[in-house]
Amino acid sequence: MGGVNHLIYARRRAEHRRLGGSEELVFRSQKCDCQVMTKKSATSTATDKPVRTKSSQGYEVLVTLPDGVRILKPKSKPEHFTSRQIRSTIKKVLKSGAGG
Amino acid sequence: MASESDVFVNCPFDDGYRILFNATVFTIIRSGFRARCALETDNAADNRFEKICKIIDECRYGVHDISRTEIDGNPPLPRFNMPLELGLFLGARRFGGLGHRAKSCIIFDREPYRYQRYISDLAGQDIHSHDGEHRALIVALAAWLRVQSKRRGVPGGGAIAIEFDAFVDQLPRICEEQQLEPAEMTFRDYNEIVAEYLAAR
Repeated sequence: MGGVNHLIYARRRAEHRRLGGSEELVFRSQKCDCQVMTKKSATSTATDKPVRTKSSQGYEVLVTLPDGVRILKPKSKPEHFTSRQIRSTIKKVLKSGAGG
Repeated sequence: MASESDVFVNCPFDDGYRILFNATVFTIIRSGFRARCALETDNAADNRFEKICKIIDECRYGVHDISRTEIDGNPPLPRFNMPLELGLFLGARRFGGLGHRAKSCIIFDREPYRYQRYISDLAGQDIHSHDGEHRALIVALAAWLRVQSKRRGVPGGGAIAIEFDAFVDQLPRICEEQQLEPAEMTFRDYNEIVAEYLAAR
C-alpha cells in the first residue's frame, strides 16, 4: 500500500509544480481519496417523491397535518394504479379545481 | 398482537351502503388510523374466515355496523356475517390474552335499540344509531376514535364531514383522470386515494 500511496503523492506533486504551487503539500492516503470519490450526495434529485417517515410503531407516515394528525400509508397497495400515479392525478385535479 | 392504529371495518359492502362505507374509511384515515377489512386481500385461495380472523388479530379497534341484519331473499333469511364478525372481535378481546385486552369497538345500527330485538345480549356495549346518514356516522365515529385513542388532535366529526363532502365532490374527477369507473374502484384503491388526497391538500 505504501508504494501506491507514494505514486499518488508523486503525481500530485508533479501536478502541483505544473500549476506553480509550493512544495508544501498535504499528503492524503488512498483510502481517504476513495471515500471522497465514492460518497453519494446527501441531496435527493427526485422531485415527485414526498418525504416520508416511520412512526415509532413502524407505520409509514405520509404527512403530518397542521392539527397534528398523521396520515398513515395504507397497509395494502392499490390494485388499479401505483401510489405515484394517483398522487400525481390528485395533485392535478386539486390544482385545476383551485384554478377554476 | 394488535396494532395500535389499525381499525377493523365490519360493515356491508353493497352499493346501497357505499356512501356510509366510504365515510367510515375516510374518517378512520383522517383521524390518523389505518382502515382494514376483509376486502384488502383478493386472493381467492385464502379462506375468508381465516382472513377475517387474521385482520381482527392485528387490529386494536373495530367499527361494526349491524344495520343490515334484516330478512332478505327467498326464502327470507337474515344476513348474519356482521354479527358473526362482531362476535369474533368481542371474543378476541375476552379470550385473546394480554395482547388483545385493550381491544375496543364501536357498534352502529340504523335505529336506536333495534338490536335488542335480535341480539339482545349486546346490551351494555357502545351502540350508536346513524339512521342511514353518513354525517351522523362520521360525527359519532370521529368522537369515539378521539376518546379511545386519547389523541387530542383528531378533529371533530363536523369538520371531518365537511372535508368528506369536499372529497366526494372531487372523487369522480380523480377516477376519470385515472380512467377508472367509480364502480371499478376497490377498497385498496379507495384507501390509497383517501390517504394521498389528505396528504396532497
